Amino acid sequence: MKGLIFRCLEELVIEQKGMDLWEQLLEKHCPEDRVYISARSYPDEELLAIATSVSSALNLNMEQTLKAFGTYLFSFLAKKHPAIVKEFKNFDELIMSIDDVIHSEVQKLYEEPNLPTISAKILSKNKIEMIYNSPRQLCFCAEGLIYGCAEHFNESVVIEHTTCTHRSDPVCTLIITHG
Amino acid sequence: MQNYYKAYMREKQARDELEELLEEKTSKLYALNVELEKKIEILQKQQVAVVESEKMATLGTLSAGVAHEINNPLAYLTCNLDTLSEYTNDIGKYLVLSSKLIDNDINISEFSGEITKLQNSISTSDLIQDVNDITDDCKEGCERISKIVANLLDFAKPKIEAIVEFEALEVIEQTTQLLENKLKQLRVTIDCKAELIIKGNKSNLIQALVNILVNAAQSCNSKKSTEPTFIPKLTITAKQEGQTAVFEVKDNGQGIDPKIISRVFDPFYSTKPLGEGTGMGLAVVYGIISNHGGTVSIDNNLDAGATVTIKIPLVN
Repeated sequence: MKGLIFRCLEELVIEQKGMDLWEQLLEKHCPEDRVYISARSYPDEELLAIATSVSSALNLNMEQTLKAFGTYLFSFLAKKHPAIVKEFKNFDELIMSIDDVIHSEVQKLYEEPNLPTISAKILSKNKIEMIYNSPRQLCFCAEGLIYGCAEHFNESVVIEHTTCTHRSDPVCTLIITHG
Repeated sequence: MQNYYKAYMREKQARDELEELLEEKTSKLYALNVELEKKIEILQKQQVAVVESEKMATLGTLSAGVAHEINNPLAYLTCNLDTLSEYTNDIGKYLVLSSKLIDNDINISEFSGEITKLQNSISTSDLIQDVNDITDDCKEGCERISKIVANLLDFAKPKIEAIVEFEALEVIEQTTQLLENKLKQLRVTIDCKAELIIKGNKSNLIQALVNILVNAAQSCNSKKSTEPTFIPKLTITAKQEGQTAVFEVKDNGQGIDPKIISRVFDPFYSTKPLGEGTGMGLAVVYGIISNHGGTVSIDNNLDAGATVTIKIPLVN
């Protein structure tokens, strides 16, 4: 996992729970003197271990924690790359361009980013079907990102997670109703 | 604690700024890389165009020799067809007689008498033998022309699937056949390892070998013009060294001036008088061999002449 995601988690934890907790998490789950740099890759297990500890510190289950993290991640990324987000006029335009525009920009900046496969199609005026597929199974984080995106464009959003790899489905299907 | 937090925030800001800088540089690098890739693509297209135009120039050089090679079998084909035409009259006389016998226009004794008369002027056994010989000759002539045309087509108009597997000997044989006329004055020796399989663009490799052999022949012919007793020799070898096919073209001609030997693969570099050479011959060879992942080098021989060595990685 890219250091950028760890840096976002670091910012979230320090902002919400202070530096002590972050230091404790690093000491507990990471090699000594770990410093996260956006462009570097770090073991997925580290993220999972930190996220698990965060979820117990926040009294949330993993699903809720990942959703909250995803929501925060969107604003974190939008702050870091305002030019990319400015390219999109509205919520559905951004959601429809994740694979073509956003992921291709990520490919330019980071070596081997191991991005998930995301395809989206418009079902009706306010309804989008998104298929998420990744061996990391971070579909709840993807849900959070969609909530974050909706917040950014001042839209309300409801997501139905109709199929999920956590329930042994081959891919995750997210039906997004926005407006 | 407050100071500790401040220090952390300062360090975080430093990380942010450095990462921003890194991303900016990475984006620029990416854009430059895309531009570079486009330029490489243009260069590759231009290289293909240069090879094609050089090929056309070579075809022009070859045309007189090829015309001569086709003319020889054509000459005896024409002569044989004239003879066959005469024999047709003779065969016709036998057939007319046979026809008369079948239709009962003549009886068997009259037929026998006429046949004896014909036999005295035209022997049937000679006729049969001659017709067979002439037919064989014509067939051989047509095959020769057909082979020359096929080689020429293979060279000038490669098949769509340009990358194929083929034997090294095929390239050498097709090249020497194309240049048969130019190499007539030379004692050519071919020593090629059997079943030496190469993967690549056959037409382009023939082009490379044509350019090398034409240079070698010219070098030998120049020497011959100043030393009438000189016997020009050309040896073409192909062997395997580990996972590499090694071609060597060795001549005993004039050799290359050591002062210019390092420049012979430069594009547009020619030692020939203005208007006689494109200066692209060996540059095209270099391009073709590089495209095959190989190398080409040229050295003067210790005794006389020069040797061009081509090394191409073999198919696993």
